[in-house]
Amino acid sequence: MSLTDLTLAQAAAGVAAGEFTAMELTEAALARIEAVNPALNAFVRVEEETARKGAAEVDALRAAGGPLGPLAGVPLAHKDMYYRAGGLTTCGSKIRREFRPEATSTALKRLANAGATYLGGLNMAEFAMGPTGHNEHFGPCRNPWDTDRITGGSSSGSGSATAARLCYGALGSDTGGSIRLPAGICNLAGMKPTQTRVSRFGVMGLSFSLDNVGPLTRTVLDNALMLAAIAGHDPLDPTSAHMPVSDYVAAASAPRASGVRVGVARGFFEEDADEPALAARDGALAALVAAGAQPVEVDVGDMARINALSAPLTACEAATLHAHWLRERRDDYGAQMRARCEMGFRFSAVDYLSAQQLRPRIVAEFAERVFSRCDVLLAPTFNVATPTIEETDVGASQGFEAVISRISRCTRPFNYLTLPGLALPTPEAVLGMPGSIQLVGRPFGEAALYSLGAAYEAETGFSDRAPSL
Amino acid sequence: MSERERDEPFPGYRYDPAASARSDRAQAATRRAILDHGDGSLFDTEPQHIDTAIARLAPEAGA
Repeated sequence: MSLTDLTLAQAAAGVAAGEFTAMELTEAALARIEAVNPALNAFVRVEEETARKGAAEVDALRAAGGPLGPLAGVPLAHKDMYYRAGGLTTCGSKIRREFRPEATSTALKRLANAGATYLGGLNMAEFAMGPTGHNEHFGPCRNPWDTDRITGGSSSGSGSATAARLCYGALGSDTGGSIRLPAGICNLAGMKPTQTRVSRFGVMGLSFSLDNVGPLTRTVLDNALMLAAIAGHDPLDPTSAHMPVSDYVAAASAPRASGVRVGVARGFFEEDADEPALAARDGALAALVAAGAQPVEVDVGDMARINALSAPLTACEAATLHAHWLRERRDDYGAQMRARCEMGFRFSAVDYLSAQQLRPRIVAEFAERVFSRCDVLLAPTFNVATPTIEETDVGASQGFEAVISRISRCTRPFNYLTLPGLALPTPEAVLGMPGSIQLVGRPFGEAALYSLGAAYEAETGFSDRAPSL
Repeated sequence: MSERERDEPFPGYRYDPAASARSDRAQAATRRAILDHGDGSLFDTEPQHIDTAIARLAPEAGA
């Protein structure tokens, strides 16, 4: 077995036990990137020197008998919107192609404190807006399961690189599905935590009401290890929650499905669907039942209305953040990004504030409706077959919203609802490509999702599958 | 000020030609959703209540 085939947890354990060095892990990852990245375009920038320096520090610390963090020596890479003081952070854009922030994001600081090293910046949709993986400035990111097909986005490189074993895990960001979609489309575990669970200090913003930071990994335990390193209140991000952080690693290490009531989300989630995607969802439900879960039917209510209410939040907040550059550098934006920002100027202030004002009530109503009947909600992450890059290369052409809405319709509601969602691969493929479900929990209920997700992983063995690249 | 100028987010900014129709569709859907949900009981509600709302819905602190 190659070192790059190890899981994140195995890699960290191997470094801690002295079975191999952090430098050996890093060199293996760099060699893999050199061999495979040209076919995927997952990295927009590889930082060999930074990676080797980090690995050398971990190895020196271990040699000196110093305490090692839980991710010591593990090479990670991240969506290129996590600021590192003095380092390039392009945000997938032409406008920020040479941007060097002054501060480092709290998420990256916390990963570094846990011992993780940094391989470089990953491809993404321009300014994190777009669910397919297209990027006019850096080129489309390609799916390691079929390089003609999309990775999903906007954390396209995070999905592609982690699935292709170029890194052991990656941070993405999720405003309407941008962690869960690439995780799902690339056969990974992807966690969108509860809104405000993870600090967003030093992370490029898109929509401050809906943005979330979270990990994409090959296994549930790997995911819990990364979230455990970054979750928790941060004085530098006053919006981050003060709620105590659960022990995610313990939860993922104690798989439990027995007696867990799993609500099946139908209605909206089955409309306009491709039948094989729903069949894959049914296979996932059967696996959860085989592991001991108890299926229950739940009425999720009108999710289309929730998506309609999230639209002004995304559009108006993005338009606000980008107003200056839209005025000064309009032509430096890709067509789709510009068109979606422009929608934000058209909503009225009353539209926007009404959508915000309704949010607490709708969240409470949804929680009462759903979580009075079940512990965890099961929905497809996407309910369509994975399209090709060419089919979805729509830019801002007539009807582009319908194309992108169809991909992200199942993930967007949970951003407005603030709820944590763990995307996991289905046991069966969808027309030869990975399928995915999302397990959705109560606010701050990530630990329960990890525990159930680990039981599901043991039942399905989804993390044993690897692309042939 | 002309109708066109009033519609510009900044002086001289040109929208994509299809922006109007797209925005009208999205705005109509949002306004329908607001109408369906909004009523007088929201009169004293502030958007900031979302933080307390989700904290109340947590399984239990630290669980």
